[in-house]
Amino acid sequence: MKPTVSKLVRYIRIFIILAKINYLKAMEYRLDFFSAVLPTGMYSAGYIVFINLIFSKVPSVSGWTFDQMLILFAVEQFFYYSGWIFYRGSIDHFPALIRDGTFDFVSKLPINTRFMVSFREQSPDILIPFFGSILVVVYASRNLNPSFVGVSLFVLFVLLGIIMLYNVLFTLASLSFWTTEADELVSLVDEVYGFGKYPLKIFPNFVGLFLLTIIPAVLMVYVPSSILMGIFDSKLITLFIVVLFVSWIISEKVWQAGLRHYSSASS
Amino acid sequence: MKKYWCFLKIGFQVSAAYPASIYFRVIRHSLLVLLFVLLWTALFKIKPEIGGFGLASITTYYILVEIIDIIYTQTPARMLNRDIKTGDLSNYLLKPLDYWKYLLFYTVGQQLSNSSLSILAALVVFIFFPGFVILPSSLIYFVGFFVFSFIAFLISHQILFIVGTWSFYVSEITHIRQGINQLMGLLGGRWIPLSFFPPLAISVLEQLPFTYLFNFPLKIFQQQVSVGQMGRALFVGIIWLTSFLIIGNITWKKGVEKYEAYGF
Repeated sequence: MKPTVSKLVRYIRIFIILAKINYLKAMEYRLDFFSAVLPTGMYSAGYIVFINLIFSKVPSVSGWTFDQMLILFAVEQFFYYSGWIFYRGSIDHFPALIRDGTFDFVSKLPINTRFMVSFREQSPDILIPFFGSILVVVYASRNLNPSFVGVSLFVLFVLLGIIMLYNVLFTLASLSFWTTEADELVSLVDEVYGFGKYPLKIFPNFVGLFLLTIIPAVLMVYVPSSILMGIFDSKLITLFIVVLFVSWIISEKVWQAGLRHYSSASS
Repeated sequence: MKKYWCFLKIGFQVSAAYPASIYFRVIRHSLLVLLFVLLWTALFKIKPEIGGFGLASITTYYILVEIIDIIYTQTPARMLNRDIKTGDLSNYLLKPLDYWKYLLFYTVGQQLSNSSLSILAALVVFIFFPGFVILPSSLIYFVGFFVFSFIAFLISHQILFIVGTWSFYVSEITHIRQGINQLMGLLGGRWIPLSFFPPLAISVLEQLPFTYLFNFPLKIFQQQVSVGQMGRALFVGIIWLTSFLIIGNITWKKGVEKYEAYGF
């Protein structure tokens, strides 16, 4: 028990150091740091204007109201921004490490390689839009009056959803051990995750199934959002847990297979 | 002038050297079209026509939005920012070439490569899914669409060139560049046709240059404007383009006066 706790504390300390380094790097260009709110704010404004205009013409989108759509959007954005803050920069950079032969410098460090590959590069400049998405969730749920249990479950499933998204993206990035196009795949799946901000009902059955299982874009956003709205779909919650574990197992298996396959650039 | 055609060729070759990124870009844009078509299909179940659009016309709209979006690029701002930050701009200033022309020809070459596959994909959709798209019935609208798309490309290129010149003052402009790109899309009709906006907003938005980026070329393709309106819009579009060229020239000259680099 003690070695596990001390190991955990050690990794937390390393994570904090990495966060500090990335913060200092980001603050090298202060105006650019604070202007991160521009593209994210414009994107959010674009989407909100878009659904506002739609709701000016129709009463609902597949039975979903404006506030419900806003919750879906804010939760989807929350996942997107939290990914970028903690691990997305690293995952994006990983294919380049393999291509350039500099992965050796990371793999030989006296620290878990997956940890370094996942969290070495962070984007603290996304913190402002990240908190913005939380504010949008709070605003959109102003008429819901969720219970304490509902909010707690919502937070729990959001945290689990972050892990699920990480597992999927990390699995794709690990394909860099075999192909040079892994970064394109990661960007492509990013696009698919944008589907999560729309209600499940708009998708035909086979598309919906794909978005609930293979690339769980809709599952990841829909389950916590519906819990916040007081909708407890036990089948989807069970599916969420199953997909979370399966995605973790697959990501670890692919990563280990990639490490075995990897041949170093140096002698 | 010959040297600039070489830059066009180089831009084309650099982009074509990574065909996978072109394929994936087409797939990404196709996914966006699919998403919007699914969303609007769900909406048309409530009402068969919304804002003057049916399923075929709105599908046509979003296919063309994605094709036009592939044509646009942030390359002018990105390359200028990189060259200023690294000091590589000095290379170009010392050589007997016009940096703006170099950037323009290089970008055109690059975008010719990037957009070739998407245009092919669109042709496939137009031929094999005729029920989902509406083509213009007259050649003048086809020609008008291509002319205005080219003007739109030049306007977008010039706006981003001006944004790139801000690198002379603030070093890193990545988020500013991306923010302005998002703003151009929002005000230009990338998310939804401008006709969905309230009348007052439409009258303001149609006076801005961003309407030429998506909204106006698509209105021409969907034959929602007369030939006379096209002619007037062409005149106004050229005035906007000329204005941005003048502003770009001023910001470039002021920036170069301020520019410092180490080495040599």
